Amino acid sequence: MLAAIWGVTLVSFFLIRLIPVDPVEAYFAINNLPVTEEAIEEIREEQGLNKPLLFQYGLWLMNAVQLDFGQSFLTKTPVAEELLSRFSVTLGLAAAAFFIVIAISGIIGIWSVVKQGGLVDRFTRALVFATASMPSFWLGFVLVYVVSLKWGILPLMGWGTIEQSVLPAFTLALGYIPYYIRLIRTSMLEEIEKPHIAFARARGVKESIIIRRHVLKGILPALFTSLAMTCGGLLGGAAIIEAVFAIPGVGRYLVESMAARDYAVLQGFILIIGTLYVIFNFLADLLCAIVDPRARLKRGDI
Amino acid sequence: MLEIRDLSVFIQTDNSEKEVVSHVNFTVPQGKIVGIVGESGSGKSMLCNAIMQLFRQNRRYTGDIIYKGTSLLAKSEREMRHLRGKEISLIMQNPMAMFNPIVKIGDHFVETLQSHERISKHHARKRAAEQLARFQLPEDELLDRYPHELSGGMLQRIMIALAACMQPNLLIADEPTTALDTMTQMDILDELLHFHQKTKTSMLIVSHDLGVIAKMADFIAVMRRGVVVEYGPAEWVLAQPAHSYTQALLAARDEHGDLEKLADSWEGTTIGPLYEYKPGCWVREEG
Amino acid sequence: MMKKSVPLIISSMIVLLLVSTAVFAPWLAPNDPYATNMAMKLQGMSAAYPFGTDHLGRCVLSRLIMGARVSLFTALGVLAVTLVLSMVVGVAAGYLGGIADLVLMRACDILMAIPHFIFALVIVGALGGGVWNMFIAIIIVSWVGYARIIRNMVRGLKESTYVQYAKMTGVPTVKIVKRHILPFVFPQILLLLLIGTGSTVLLISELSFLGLGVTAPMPEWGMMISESKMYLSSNPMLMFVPGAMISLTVLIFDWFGDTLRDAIDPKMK
Repeated sequence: MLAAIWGVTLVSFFLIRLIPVDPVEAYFAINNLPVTEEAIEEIREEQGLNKPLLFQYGLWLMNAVQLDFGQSFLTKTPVAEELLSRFSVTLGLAAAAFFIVIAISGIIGIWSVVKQGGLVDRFTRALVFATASMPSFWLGFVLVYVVSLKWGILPLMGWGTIEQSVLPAFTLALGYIPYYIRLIRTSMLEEIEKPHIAFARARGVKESIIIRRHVLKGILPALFTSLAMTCGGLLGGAAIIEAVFAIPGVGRYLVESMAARDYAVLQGFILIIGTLYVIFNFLADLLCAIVDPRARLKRGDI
Repeated sequence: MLEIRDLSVFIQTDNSEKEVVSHVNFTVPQGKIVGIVGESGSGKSMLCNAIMQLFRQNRRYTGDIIYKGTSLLAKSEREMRHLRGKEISLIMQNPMAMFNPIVKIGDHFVETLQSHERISKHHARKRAAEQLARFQLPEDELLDRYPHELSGGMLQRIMIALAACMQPNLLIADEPTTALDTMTQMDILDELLHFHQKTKTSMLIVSHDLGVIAKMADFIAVMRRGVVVEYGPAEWVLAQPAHSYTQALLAARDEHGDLEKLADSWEGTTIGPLYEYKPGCWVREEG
Repeated sequence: MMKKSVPLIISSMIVLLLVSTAVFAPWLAPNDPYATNMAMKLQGMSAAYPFGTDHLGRCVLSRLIMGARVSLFTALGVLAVTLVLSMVVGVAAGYLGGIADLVLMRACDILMAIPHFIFALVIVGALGGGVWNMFIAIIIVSWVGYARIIRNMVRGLKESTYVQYAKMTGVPTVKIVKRHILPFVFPQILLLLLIGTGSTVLLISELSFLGLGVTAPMPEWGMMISESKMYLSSNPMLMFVPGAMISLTVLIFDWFGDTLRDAIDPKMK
């Protein structure tokens, strides 16, 4: 895992540097600042850009480990503070969406299997097709229009109260719910077909125990792996949803910084997202190993 | 105690139906062992599943299965669940696939016990340990082990212990020794015989191996393509087989021939009517 | 066989319709999509403006039709470049191994570390907005996955007896690749890419919505939605229509890919 995170630091640092645009000149051009040799040199000196690349990387990495992502070009304030405080908003939004996804798709998915509803299957199949094709930001506007403007139930925009978070979280979750209903349903049905379920039935084990201990537990590893990927997707999706609902999260900050070519922010952002992503995947592996003893043999690569 | 009356089993698929067991009649008397021998695909396992009433949703039955005077076919799924594992137990083939790989051995026992009686997890574990000890299995080690850590032979013995843990009246063993090495096969059979002698539990043993059936059974039914061709006391069927298919089976055993090859090449008929040629001995008429 | 190809014929007709709309957009649009007319802003439906006008008085229908151009041309361009790039690298990595393989696998590691959307977002952010930079960013995030699929396919094929035989009998490498590898890999990858086109269209609209893709005044569906934000309560049509177009386009491509896959190989699911 540490190796993977180190990889992430390499990506976040060098990705920006590989782009054939001089960050400082671009920064000046974008922000209509007078381009003078001294001004450019000053920024370079300030950001340490006149040192060798590897040295810069080492320095940046040392600081990043201490949660110091350097200074913003634009505001001259430390990036880390700004980034982390906004990140907590985004993380909250993604987490809310995450639990909505699990709760709704879990209930419908399990219910459809236990009650053997062919109807649910056809319905979710159509829903997967439909939601996969709808841009989430559009869906957000449609929901705002119907729920907030027409019905007047929930607040229009903003962030901070529970009511304000319902629509964004639901919008963000909606794209994933049909997918998870299907995932849960098909993998449960697959699990039920396994011979050890027949043997459990032959022993007269209660149906509730069969579903809980054998079927649900059996689909957990596949579910965890998918959910880890979804966490990353939700964080990315949150950036868009924030723009729709005017939420002061990291997504908006990122877009603003991009417009200003504030690359210290970009670096810090990729580093955080990448690290989180690696951690999610690691957690998923860990949970799989707890559930499935056969996966434990492969453990030990930290 | 168990009576199969003119039973036919049909497997239903989306748009067709296939008869896998056809008009089978026999009984399992109290305290006796009945063996069914036949090649793979002869409908033996289907018969076991029919008695257990497993896979009900895509099976259709005609005839009847009478257990202790009542029809199993007429029972609801709920009533059947209470019978399964408690009154009628099933030992299945391929033990490696029958234990849930992510559930400990001990929990397999606990859930079985808890499904049939009110018992705390602690007591259920104790009962499981006793049960394993009764079958000369090292109980302390096994309870917290996962199935993949154990050998096929070990799992098969645990399966017997598990099937027997509610003291069933009828134990059905579907190919209990298949996929095991010869030494382990003998151990398993001795285990089953020992259990039978101690408890007098009625048994129905199904195998493609005539040797297994000959060693165990009091009565033998010979099956071929879903049909019983001969049924009678073991000593009669083995000593004086009346049907030519049974004769061919016995000959193949004596010559260590390949049963599957025989099953494919044997070309006699099995459609004649079943008649009792001697009290308790039934055979299909051959044209 | 005939029965199975009916949905394929219908879906390919619709795709063709969509593509020709994009190609002939300048002639199909009833009005100039760029002409602003502040006197006529935020109008409802009328004969002259079938879908009304936007906040600058531009014809919404004309902008929708022109928007098809941006989305489809970019998406199909991405498809073409990704196809070539992933084929070259994938076959080289799979068949020759060595440095090509090393580079590809490292690239995969990098892309696996960060969600695709965010990756594209950052690349566009660093390069700056605009259609070209968006185009490049989408290609960067999408080609590696396909290249890896090709690499694995080629590796499997390389072990097959007929390739081994051809090798043993001294057939030159280029000829083996041409005769035994490309004909097998190409249709499968094309199919996968076609199935993925829907999500490319979606990605384009998302980036443009954030103001990182297409730049004004070029008409693009995602950006049209973004522009309509302020007029949600008074003119919701401005928001509904472009979103419906995106959904429809993605749906059509998904369906087309599905029917094509069923027609080619019903077992591939």
